[in-house]
Amino acid sequence: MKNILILLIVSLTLLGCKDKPTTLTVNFKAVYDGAPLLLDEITTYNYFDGSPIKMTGFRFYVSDVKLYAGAEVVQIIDIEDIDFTSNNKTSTGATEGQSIVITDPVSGNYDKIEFSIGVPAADNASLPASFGYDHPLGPSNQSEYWDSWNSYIFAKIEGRQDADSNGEFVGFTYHTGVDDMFRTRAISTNFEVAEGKENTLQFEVDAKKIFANSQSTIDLVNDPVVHTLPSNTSSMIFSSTISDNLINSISIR
Amino acid sequence: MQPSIFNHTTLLITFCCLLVTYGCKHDPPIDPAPSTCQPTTGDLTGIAYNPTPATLAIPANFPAMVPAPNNPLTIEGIELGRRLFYDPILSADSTMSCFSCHMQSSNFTDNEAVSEGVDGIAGTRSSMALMNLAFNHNPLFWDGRVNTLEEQAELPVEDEIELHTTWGEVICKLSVHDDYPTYFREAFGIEDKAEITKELAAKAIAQFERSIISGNSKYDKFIRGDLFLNDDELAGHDMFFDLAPNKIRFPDTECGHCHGGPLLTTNEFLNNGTQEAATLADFADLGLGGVTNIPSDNGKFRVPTLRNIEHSAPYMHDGRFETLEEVIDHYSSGGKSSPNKDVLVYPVTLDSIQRSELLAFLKTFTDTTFMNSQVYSNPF
Ligand code: HEC
Ligand code: HEC
Repeated sequence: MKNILILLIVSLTLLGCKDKPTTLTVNFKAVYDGAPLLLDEITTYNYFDGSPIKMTGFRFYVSDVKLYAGAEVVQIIDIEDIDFTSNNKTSTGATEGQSIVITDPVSGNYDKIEFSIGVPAADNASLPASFGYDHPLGPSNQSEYWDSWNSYIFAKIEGRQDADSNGEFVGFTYHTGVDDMFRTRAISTNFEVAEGKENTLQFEVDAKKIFANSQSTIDLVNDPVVHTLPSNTSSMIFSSTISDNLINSISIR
Repeated sequence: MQPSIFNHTTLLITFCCLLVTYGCKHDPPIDPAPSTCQPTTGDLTGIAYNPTPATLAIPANFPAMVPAPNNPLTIEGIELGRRLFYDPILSADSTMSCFSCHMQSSNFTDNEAVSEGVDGIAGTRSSMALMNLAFNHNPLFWDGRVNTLEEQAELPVEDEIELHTTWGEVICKLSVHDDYPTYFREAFGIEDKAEITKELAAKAIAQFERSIISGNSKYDKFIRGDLFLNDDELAGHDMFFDLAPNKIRFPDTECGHCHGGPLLTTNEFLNNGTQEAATLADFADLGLGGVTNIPSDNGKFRVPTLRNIEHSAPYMHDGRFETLEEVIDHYSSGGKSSPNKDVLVYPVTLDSIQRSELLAFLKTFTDTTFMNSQVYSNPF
C-alpha cells in the first residue's frame, strides 16, 4: 500500500511538472511483396512473372512532405535521401527502416499527407557544393549528383534477374533524374500528431510494385539498364514509368 | 593491437608464394636493428609559436573539404608533413619514406603492381594515388579498413612490409634532430623536445596529404568552360557519361557512374569484376568484406580516382593491368563473373575507333600543373 502511494506521488510529480516533448518519427520501410526487402545478394524475390530476382540497391530522394488539415498545411520534411542500400543488408536493418525524427511538430488532426519523390526544380538547379557538407544534397552525397544531366539522381533501383530460372543472374539498374521525373502524390488519411507523444508516420515502399502494377510492367530482360537521357525519347518514357511506379508503390501504414 | 596493413596470414601466404616462386629472392623481414638513439629533452619555448592558417586554392568545380576540426590546416603543419613524407628518417634503414611508394612523377603511386617495402618484401596490393583526399568522405585504402588520414599515417612506419621500424625509434630520431623539434614547436606549439609524438607526426602528414589537390586537367578546364575538347575526346566523353542518344555510334560504357563528379570517383566500394568467384565466399581478396564481415561486401574495392590515370599504371588493387588499353578490354568484356559483380559492368561492344576515343578522353584527366607542382615535391 505504502509502495503504491510512493509510486503515485512520484508519477504525479514526473507527469505534472513538465509537458513531455512532442516528436514525430517519419519512418520508411522497404518491402518486397510485403516481406522486408533484403539487399544482401542472397535473398531472392519473385518478379511478376514468377522468375527469381535479387535486389542489390535501392534509394530515392523524398521531398516536400506536408501534412494537411483542410486548407491548412504544415511542411515536415524539405528533403531527405532515403537510402536502404547499406542498412537493408541485414534483416535487423531492413526491419528498422530509415527514420527521420522531427522534434516539436505542429500537433493536431490531419486528413491528407502529401510527398514528392525527387529534388524540387530550384534545388535541382544547384550543385552539391552549394549545400552544407552533410545536407542530403551536399558534398557528402556527391555520388547522387549526375553532372551530365545537371541533375541529382532522384532514385536508384538496382538488382539482378534470372529470367530463365537457371541460376544465372543478370544485372538491371534504373537511375532516374532531371526535373521531368519529379513526382508528387497526396494520400487522404486521418493522422494525428498528439501533443506530448512520440508519434510515428509510417511509409512503406513495396519494390514489387515498381516492376509491375495495374498500369504497366517493367521489362527487366530487354531494358536492363536505363538512366534518364533527356535526348532519348524512349529512355524518357521508360524513366517516366519507373518514376510513376515508384511513387505509386508507396503507401502509408 | 595496432591494425597492421597486412595481417599475418596474408604475410605468411605472401612469403610462401615468394619463396616458391622466386626461390628465396628476397630475405625474410628482419627485426629492426636495436635502437642506438638516446631520447633527449630540451626547452623549446624560446621559439615563437604562431601558426598561420592555410587556405587552399580549391578549384571552382570542387565540393567543400571534409571537415577535420581536430587538425586545422596551417602552413607550418603542411610543411612539416611534407618533410616527414619525404624523409627516410621514417624507415628502419633510412632508405625509404612515404614517397618511395607514392612518387609525384608517378601520380603519387609507385608504378609497381604491388608495393615492396624496406626489406624487399612485396605486399598484395598496389599503391594508391594520393590526391584530393581532403574531399573523400569514405574510409581509406582499397578495402576501407581505416577511417582518417591521421589514423592511416601512423601505419606504414611499423608495417613489416613497408617502413618496418618503430615509432619509438622514429620519435627518438626526430627529437635529437637539429631541425625537427623547431618544426614541431612551430606547427603544434610543443614546449619540449620530449613532447614530439607519433600522433603529431601523423597529424602533420595528414595535413600535407589534404593539401595535395589536383583540379587543373584539360577535363576540369572543359567543365569550367575554359576550353573545349577535340572530337575524339568529346566522343569518349559522351560514351563515358552516356550522353549521346545514338547508342550504336556512342555505346554507354557506364564509367561515369563510378568515376564521375569532380573527383572522378564516388569513392564508393564496388565490385567491378576483377575477380572470378562462384559464390560470395570465393574471392581471393575479400576487399571490403574482409573488413566489414558482410558477405555481400566481399570482392568490393574502393573506386579509385581516374585523375592523371595515364601515369598510374599498372592498374587495379593488385596492379593486374599494365595499360589503359587492357583496362578498356576488361570493361568491354564485362569483367569476370561473381555473384555481386556490379550491374553496371557488363559486355559492351567497342570497335577500335570507339576504344581510341575513350582512351583519348581518359587522357584529358592528366593534370600537368599538378604533376610538376613544386608545392608537393621533395623539399630535400
Ligand atoms: C611500401 C610501400 C608504401 C609505403 C612506404 C607507403 N605506402 Fe601508402 N600505400 C601503399 C599501398 C600498397 C597502399 C594501398 C594498400 C591497401 O589498400 O591495402 C597505400 C595506401 C595509402 C593511402 C590510402 C589512400 C586512399 O585513397 O585510400 C594513404 C593515405 C597512404 N598510403 C599514405 C602513405 C603515407 C603517409 C606513407 C608514409 C608514412 C605511406 N603511405 C607509405 C604503399 C606504401
Ligand atoms: C561499377 C562501378 C565502375 C564502373 C562502371 C567502372 N569502374 Fe573503373 N573501377 C571501379 C572499381 C571498384 C575499381 C577498383 C577495382 C579494383 O582495384 O579491383 C576501378 C578501377 C579502375 C581503374 C584503375 C585505377 C587505378 O588507379 O588502378 C581504371 C583505369 C578504371 N577503373 C577505368 C574505368 C573505365 C574507363 C570505365 C568505363 C569503361 C570504368 N572504369 C567503369 C569501378 C567502376
